[in-house]
Amino acid sequence: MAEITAPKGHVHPISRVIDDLVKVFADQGFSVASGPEIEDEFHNFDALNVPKDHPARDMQDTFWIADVPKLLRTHTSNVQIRYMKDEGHKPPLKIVVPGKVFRNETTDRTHEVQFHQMEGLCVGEGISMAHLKHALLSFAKALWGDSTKIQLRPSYFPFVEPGIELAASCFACGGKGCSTCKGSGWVEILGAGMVHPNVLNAVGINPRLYTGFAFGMGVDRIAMMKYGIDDIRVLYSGDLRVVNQF
Amino acid sequence: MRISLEWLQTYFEEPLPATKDLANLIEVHSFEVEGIEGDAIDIGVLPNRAHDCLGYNGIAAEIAAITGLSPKPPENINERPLVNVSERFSSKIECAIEDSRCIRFTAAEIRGVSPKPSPALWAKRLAVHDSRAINAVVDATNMAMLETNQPTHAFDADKIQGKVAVRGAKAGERVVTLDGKDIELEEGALVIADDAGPLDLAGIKGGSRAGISESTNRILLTSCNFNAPAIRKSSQRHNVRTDASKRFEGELAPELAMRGLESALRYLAEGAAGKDFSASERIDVWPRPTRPFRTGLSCRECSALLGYDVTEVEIADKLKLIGCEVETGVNPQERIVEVVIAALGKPYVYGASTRFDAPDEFDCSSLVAYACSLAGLSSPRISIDQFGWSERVGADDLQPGDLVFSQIDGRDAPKPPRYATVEFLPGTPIDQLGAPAEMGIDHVGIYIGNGEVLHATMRGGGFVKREPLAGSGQFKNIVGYGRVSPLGETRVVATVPPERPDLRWPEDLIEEVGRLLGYERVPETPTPDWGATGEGSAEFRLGQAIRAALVGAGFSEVMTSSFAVIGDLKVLRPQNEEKPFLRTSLATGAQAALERAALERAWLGQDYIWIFEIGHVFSGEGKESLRLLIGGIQPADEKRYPLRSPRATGHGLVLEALGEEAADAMSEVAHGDIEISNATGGSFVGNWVELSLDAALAVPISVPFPLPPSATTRYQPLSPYPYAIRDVAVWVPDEGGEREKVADVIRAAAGSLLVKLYCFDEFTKPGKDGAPTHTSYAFRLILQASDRTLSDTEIAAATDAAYAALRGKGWEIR
Repeated sequence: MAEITAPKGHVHPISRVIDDLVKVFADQGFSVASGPEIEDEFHNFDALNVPKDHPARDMQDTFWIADVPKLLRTHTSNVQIRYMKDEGHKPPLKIVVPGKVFRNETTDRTHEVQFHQMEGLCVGEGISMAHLKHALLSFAKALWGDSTKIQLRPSYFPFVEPGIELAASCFACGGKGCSTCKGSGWVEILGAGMVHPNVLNAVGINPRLYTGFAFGMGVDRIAMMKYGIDDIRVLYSGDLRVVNQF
Repeated sequence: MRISLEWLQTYFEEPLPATKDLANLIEVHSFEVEGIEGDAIDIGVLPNRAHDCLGYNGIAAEIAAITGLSPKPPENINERPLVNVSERFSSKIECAIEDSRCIRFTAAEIRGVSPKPSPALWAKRLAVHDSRAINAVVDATNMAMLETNQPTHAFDADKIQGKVAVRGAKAGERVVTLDGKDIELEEGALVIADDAGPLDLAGIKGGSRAGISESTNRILLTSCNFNAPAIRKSSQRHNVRTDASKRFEGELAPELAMRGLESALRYLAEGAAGKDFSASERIDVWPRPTRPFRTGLSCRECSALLGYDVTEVEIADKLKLIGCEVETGVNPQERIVEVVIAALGKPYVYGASTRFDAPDEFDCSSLVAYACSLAGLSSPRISIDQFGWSERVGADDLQPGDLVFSQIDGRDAPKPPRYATVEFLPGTPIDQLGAPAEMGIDHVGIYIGNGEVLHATMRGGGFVKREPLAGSGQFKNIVGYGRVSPLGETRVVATVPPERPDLRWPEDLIEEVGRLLGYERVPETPTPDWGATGEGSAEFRLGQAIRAALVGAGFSEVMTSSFAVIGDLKVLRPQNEEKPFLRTSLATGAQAALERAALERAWLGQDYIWIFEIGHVFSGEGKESLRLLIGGIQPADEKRYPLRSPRATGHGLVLEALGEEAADAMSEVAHGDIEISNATGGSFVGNWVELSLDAALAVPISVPFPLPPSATTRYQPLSPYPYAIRDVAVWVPDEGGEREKVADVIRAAAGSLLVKLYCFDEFTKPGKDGAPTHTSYAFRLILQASDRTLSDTEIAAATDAAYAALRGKGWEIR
């Protein structure tokens, strides 16, 4: 029998979205940094201005590892700390950090214990919210088209101040209101803000001389919005019926 | 948190904006709006605003700031006079704080209370917060909490035995809470107790022993402030979470304690007053009262961070709106000199606090930090950090308001000199900050002009003194001079309202200004070029290279769970009890993926199923490794399906793509053969190999490696219901290559139950005896519903429709 079905390979949709996102920011001069998935408290929390015994730690439920003072990283911000402190990169710098992260929460359609994030960081002299806004607008347009509008809304994360959330005009209805955007015309995309001086201080960068911005997005969420994937768990099931659609 | 618009409106003379407009303003300037339900707006109060915006006073202040509406004067809010309930007698109940984790204890004894049903308005407002009305005494405390954000608690005073103390629980002590739970207290957990034992779980839940009952006539009303982490720990350890504990965890200001008490007293007077209602003098135990907090910012700093020019007037306006006392145009150097001169003669106390002890006592660096804060600057606390933080100036450049750093190194110095920073850019050696090598810092003073220095010193009596710099015994060895702020740059100095402990840094004030002005004012500016080329990390480039090499040759990428049934490292509290370990290899995940694929082979429509995964594995004491797994299976019938080796093919492709140097650096960790026999009667064979990529990370790999384009823009969700497989083959009078045409006919006829369609065989035969050439096309149909198992009838109907359509074209079904 003729082998009509010659093997055809497929890139995992998460890898593809990471590739797309990296390209968007590489065009703006951002390099890619990577780091370990097992982390210590300093790199994952303390250096990021997340105080011990504080509700801010509740914002991310953590997997602690037995018998060693380590945890599974809850975001890829740990790599930003390593990049600036342990690897000694000094400003000016622009990096994005894609990678697998872990949160100790009940799994459901939109929550998995492991998923992927991509964070971004830009530190230099005179970096302002205007630079952040431009970077995020370029990103939103690259993903959803030139007529996409954005809104920066107040939010809170311990490692940035001001802290904001990025909302983009709904890609499904263009902002008129639909079920995707629950009638509001806007979809929340990611968190961001200006790097807190305590974070720069912790990695040895003088906050009186340098400022920076940072952002973090859930890659799975972006992939689910882009492709209409209805359940995050299928992405890590090892099920080729999912991967082979891409 | 739901906000009752009816209650909120009572804070304002003018009507609130239309609900939708109000919600929009909140979303743009303050918090996420989660929904509008009737008379209530549900807002997502950010975690750093739990200390003020979980109460109506705080929310109203926020709404005032974003709408420009003026709040009514406090005495007219809620249409209730803000008159404190008068103090009629001295309570005989003794109260004490015996644990410093209770920061403030306020209380009043009230006689003649009546736990009658609450006024209807209270019940209505409590209902918005999912709280039911119980009786006027309890409800008064809940109303006060919702109003002021300060939890208060009423104890039945007739059930209190002896002295009331806030202390840590002793080992073995228990308390029965108001809802009947008998809790064994963790040793040291904060409780309010009387002589007989704990009366509550402090800051969290009241106990039943002194609970309010129908017969309660005399109460002790308490309103405390606690150390936030202590309440958080206690709440977690005893597994009790309440509206009260949520607020304490957010770090309430101690000033709120008395406000909450007075508010509860007013509610009690209004709704729970019985015969001879009277309140006592207020009890207020506050060992270390806080002083006003000051910080500030400059136009330059604000404009630089927001990205557009902001004026001092705009800054001052917005800070006033959120309750700050504001001074503009402050010259920091002049202010510093004023403040330190006013501190002359104050006693020297080593370790004096800028928040609790200034301006009554100082040490050398707390004097500097205090003066800086009154000048709107946020300086470090320790002298060597102040050196690092300030800008170097030369001796001949010295101006009033500059700092002078020295090394005393005396035998009686409280601490030896420091040679590296402690909190400012921690661990920076002093010579990197512009100090002469081998000098250390242990003293700092302020230059006030005319050759004079002013400093807090333990020498000569131990107080803040001024003297000529040249003759000063403590400034014989000067390490350097520091300027705290650019000369001539004025600052806006803000005294932060006590209910906003989140405002501590200039950046916090900049955020207030920025969000109230509106982030739509921020322009868009491209990030500077800096000559950066947008390079990938070694791990990223390696991954892209591998993907491109393997996907192009037929391998599909999987991502499996990092958790496993066995391993070296275990997580505490795993979500899946059966997989508490971190994976030590990718092989188990790959095996599972291939077994699944074997079951779904009909769906996948592939005979050779090849996969790979790139991922991290974990072993030993947190050792992490980057691995690549390549594997695959095929039907076991080697006669029909020529035997191929996925691991050999894949491994070869990767070695070729990465180059010799990288190939040498990739080591094989393990390999194996695969045999699968599954329920659908299929037999499969295959193999796999796992490679370590760690050493390959050091090898340079050139980019780019473009990925092949995606096959789809839309994912088709998988149904959990079983699917049916039906094959159909048909002769079509053509030369071949027309499978799409035939597929279209089948798709159109079979309808939405046809989820997958493959042509798995095609061959062309010349006609016999003058008949035209015709081609046989064999298709596999996969039929499935998203919401049910298909019945045989439904399956037959779909396939019959397909057959009919094909016959309708004049084609012969085989």
